[in-house]
Amino acid sequence: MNNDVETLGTELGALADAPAPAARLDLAWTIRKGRARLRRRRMSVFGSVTAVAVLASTLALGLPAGGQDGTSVGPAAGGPPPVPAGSPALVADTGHDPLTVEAKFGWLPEGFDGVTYIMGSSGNPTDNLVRADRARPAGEKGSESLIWLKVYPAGVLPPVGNWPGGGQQYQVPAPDVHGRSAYWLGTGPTDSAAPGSDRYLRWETADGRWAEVQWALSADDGTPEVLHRTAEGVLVGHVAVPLPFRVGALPAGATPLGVSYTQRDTYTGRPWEARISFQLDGVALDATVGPDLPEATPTVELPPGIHWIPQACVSATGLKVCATWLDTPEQYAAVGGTDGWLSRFTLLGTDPANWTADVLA
Amino acid sequence: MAKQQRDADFTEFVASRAPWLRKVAYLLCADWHRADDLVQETVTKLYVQWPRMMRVDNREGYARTILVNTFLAEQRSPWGRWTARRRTADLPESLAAARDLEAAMDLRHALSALPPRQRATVVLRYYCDLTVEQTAEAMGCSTGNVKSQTSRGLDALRRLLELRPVLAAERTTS
Repeated sequence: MNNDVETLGTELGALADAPAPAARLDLAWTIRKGRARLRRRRMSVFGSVTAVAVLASTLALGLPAGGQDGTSVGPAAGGPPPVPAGSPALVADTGHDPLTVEAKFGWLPEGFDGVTYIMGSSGNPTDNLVRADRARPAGEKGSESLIWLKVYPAGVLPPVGNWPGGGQQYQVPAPDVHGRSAYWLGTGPTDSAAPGSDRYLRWETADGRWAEVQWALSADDGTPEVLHRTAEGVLVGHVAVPLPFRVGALPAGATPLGVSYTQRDTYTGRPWEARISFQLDGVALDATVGPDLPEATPTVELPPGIHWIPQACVSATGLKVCATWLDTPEQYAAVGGTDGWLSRFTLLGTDPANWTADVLA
Repeated sequence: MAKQQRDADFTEFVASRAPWLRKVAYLLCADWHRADDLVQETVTKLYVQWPRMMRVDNREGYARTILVNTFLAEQRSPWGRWTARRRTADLPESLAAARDLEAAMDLRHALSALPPRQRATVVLRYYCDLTVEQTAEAMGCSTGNVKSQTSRGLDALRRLLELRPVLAAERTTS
C-alpha cells in the first residue's frame, strides 16, 4: 500500500511536467482587470457602482459595445445560419492541417458569437472539442453560457452510467434529429434535464456515429427546443480549420502537442487568436498568432526586463506571431532560438478567406 | 509611483511562480485550457489582495491557497459543476481506452474523476508536499477533514487505476 503512495508524488510530478500546450496567461490583462476591481471596490463605497462597471468593462476588454468588432449576431429564425464574425469557413482536410474537428455548428442561439476549436487541451494531442460561447455582459470574465459539440468515434456508443455527483443517467426519448433516433441524457426516466440544469442531447448521425451537444452554465434559455434546433444545425464530417499561417521546415521529430483557434476570448477580449504547440525532444515550441493590434488602454507599465508572458514577436500582413515561454527561451535552442523559430512562420493576413488548411508546409 | 511599485513587485512575483501555479492548476482541473483560466483568475485576485500579500511570510503558500480556493469555489459554481460533470461523463470511455495510453494520462483521468476536495487534497499532499496541517490551512478545513479526504481520494485512485498494469504489479509486491 505504501508503494503506490510513495510513487504518487513522482507520478503527479511527471504528469505536471509533461510538455503542455502554450499558456494563455496575460499579465497586462490581469493588472488592468485587477485595477478595475479595485476601482469598483472603492467606488462602490460611494454608491457609483454602475458607472464604474461600464468603465471597468471598457478598460478590461477594450471593446466597442455590441461585440468584438462592432458586429452583432441576431436571432436565426429561418434563413441561412449566422456565421460568427471573423470565423474561418471550415474546409476539407488536406492532411496538412493540425487542427481538425469532426463536426461544426450551423445554427446557434442568439449571442453565441464565439466559437473555439481546440485539440490537445487534455494533454492528449488527438482530443478535439468544438465550443460556442456567449460572453457575460459588462465585460465580466468567462462565459455566460456554453454549448459543447462532440462526435463519438465510429462504433462507440456514448456511455450511459451514473452522474459524477451520484444518481443514474437515463436515456429520455427525444424528437428525432434529421429522422434519426435521439435522446436526452437525463436524471430520471422522464426528466430530460441533467444535474444543474445542464442538458445533453445525443443523436445518431447519417454516417452512423453518435453526436452530442451539451448546454452548460445558464439555464435561462437552454430549453430542449433550443438545443434540439442547435443539433439540427450541426454538420457532421471530418473538416479542417483554416489557420492564418503556414509553418515550414519543422525539425524531424517535432509533433503537434496542441492547437486552438479561439474567436473572441472571453478572458482577454481579443477578437481571435490561434495557438500552436509542438513537442520536440521533450520541450514545447509555441507560437501564438493574432491581429497586430495596439495594446488596450491603459498601458500597463511593466518593470524593465519583465514581460508576461515573455515573448518574442514578429509582425507582418497585419498579424503578429509570438513565441512564448514560461520557463526559459532556451527551449527554442534546437530551432535557432526564437528568431529561428518565428522565421519558419508565414503569416497570411487578417482576412479568413486567405487562411489555409495547408498549415504544415 | 506607488502603483508602479506595486505592479513591479506583483509582476516579478507572478512571473517567477507562474509555471508552478499552472502545473498545480492542471493537476486540479486536468485541462491546460482551463488551467490557464484558473491561474489568470488567481493572479488577478492576488493583484487585488497585494497589500495583504506583502505582509505574508510565505507568499508562495498564499498564492497556492488562493489557487486552490478559486478552484474549489468554481466547483460550486455552474461552471465548475459543468467541468466536473463533463470530464467525468467521459470517463467510462476514457478509462476503457486508457489501457494503451501512458500512465500519466491514466492518472489524469483518475484524478479528474475524484470529487474536487479529494482531488485538491491529493494534489496538495503528494504534489505540493504539504503536511496535513498545511493542507488544512490551505483548504480552510480541519486536519481530520484532510485525513479523511486524503484516505478517500487515495482509495478512489487505487480503484480507478486498477486497470493500469504498472500499479497493479506494484500492489501485488507491496
